[in-house]
Amino acid sequence: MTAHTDKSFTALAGTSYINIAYREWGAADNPNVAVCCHGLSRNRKDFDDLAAELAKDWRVFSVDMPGRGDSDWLDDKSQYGYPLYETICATMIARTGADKVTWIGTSMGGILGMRLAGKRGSPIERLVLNDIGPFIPASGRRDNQANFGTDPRYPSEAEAVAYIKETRSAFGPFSDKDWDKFGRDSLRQLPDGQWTLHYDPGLASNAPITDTDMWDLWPAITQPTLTLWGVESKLLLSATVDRMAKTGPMTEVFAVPGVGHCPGLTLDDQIAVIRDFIAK
Amino acid sequence: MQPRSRSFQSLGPEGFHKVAYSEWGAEDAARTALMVHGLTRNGRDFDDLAQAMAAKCWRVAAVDVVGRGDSEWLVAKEGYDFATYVADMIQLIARLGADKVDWIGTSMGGVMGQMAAAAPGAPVNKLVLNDIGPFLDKAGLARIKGYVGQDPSFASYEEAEAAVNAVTGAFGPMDAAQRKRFCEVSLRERSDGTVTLNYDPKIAWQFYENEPEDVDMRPLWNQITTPTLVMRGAVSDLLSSETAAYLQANGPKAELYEVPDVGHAPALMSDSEINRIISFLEA
Repeated sequence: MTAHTDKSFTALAGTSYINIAYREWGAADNPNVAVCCHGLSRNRKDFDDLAAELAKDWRVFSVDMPGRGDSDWLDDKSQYGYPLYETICATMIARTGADKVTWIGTSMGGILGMRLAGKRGSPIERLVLNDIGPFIPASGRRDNQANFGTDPRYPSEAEAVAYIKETRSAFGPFSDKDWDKFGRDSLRQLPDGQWTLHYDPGLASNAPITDTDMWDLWPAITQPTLTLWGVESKLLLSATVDRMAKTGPMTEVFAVPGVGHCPGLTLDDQIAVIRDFIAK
Repeated sequence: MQPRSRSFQSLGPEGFHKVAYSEWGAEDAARTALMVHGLTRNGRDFDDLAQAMAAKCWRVAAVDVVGRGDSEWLVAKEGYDFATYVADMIQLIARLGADKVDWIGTSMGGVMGQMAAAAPGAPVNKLVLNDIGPFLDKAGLARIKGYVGQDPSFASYEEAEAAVNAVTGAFGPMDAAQRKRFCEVSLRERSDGTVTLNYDPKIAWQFYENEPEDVDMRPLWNQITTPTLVMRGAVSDLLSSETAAYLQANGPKAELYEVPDVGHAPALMSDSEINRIISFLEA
């Protein structure tokens, strides 16, 4: 696997500072830059396999949003949200030193990509969306957030990994080895030796879960766009994929049969379609 | 030595806008300095100081704040505020790849520096404030209101230089060549050949919508723990001697260096000013 380096930068959260962790692959003087951003309850490590492959030709960054992975947690939980995440992502893009970047976003990371790509003067030149689009039904969101913020404790890492496998079975498809990595990447060990999830349980909000309609973002996106679609996804429906392919940036679609939310980006065919798309 | 003209897209109130900066010195230099100019000025004011620091251990970024110099103009005037400016600077610090910078700010750039340095975890190593402190006298602000944002048109550079000199006479000390360059970087030519000032007149909107009042930033000052040097023009109308006494006794307990016979603001172009700044940063 291509070597990576873990780094961090300081970002502004309101009038406070937070430390944001990111992972970097590839040669520092390579002008071809891709930035990867994870889903709601995930972190930068989800892109390890993809990034290692892309790093043969690209410089790749993968960032932990606040409250996830090794990035700081917020004292004021009400600040968790897209306006702050957009600032973090823009700061990450600035940090790469590139004028233009390819954005690769899974789920929430893809929503951030859509929001940023459509803005005036956006430094995003190409967009890869992993199982996300401008419309998310309430039922899918409810399903996705079923175990969110429950703050469980496990006496051993193996038990915690088993819990992850059970609750995140729509991810993949994963080999046993991939599942172990995915599980371990989801966890952190507490000072008392117990295992828990990597993210701040304060991320969970009590806001009612409704349909999320972001179609107003879609026509503003003019960048070439590729969408990976888990055909069994409850978050990205086939009707949404149809409209994404016919309107706005008229996305290319790569359908992953037998997978829900969301494709794991560890298999050769998923990695190859992204590699080929960003090389165009 | 010539600077490298750089820019990046910063996220602000209207999507992304271009923020330009002049970069000096080795990219792998041991330390990074960020230089932030006053209200109507731009990064080229720091050419002399930046060259001197680049010859030491610094990479220097002298920024053009949004709406000034080579940075983009915003569409709506309301975006010109300290929240936008400070957010741009924190993105720029990330851009520079630095964990912390030495922040050198003149006037408005020093207000931004105080704001940026005040919170815990600030990416600021040391702070140099040029003729600005935690209390801004309304007399100085009223004087600035008298000239800022008027969007003049001049038929020639000579005419424009005379106008710049008329409102910036308190800047100094500068020799004739420095004064000439100070004027040059203050101006830009329009497509019709007329000459105007090198900033968006909309940056002055708050001066026009509010009567000048004293600005009291002392609560913020008392949160700052960053080592701080304040350069003061001895006859400044923005930074009073009372405030100079206050800022040495409170908060970061700043060191003070007074530039004789100069008002708002010291130009930071003389050897004595430059050496004082470098010795403070190296200490």
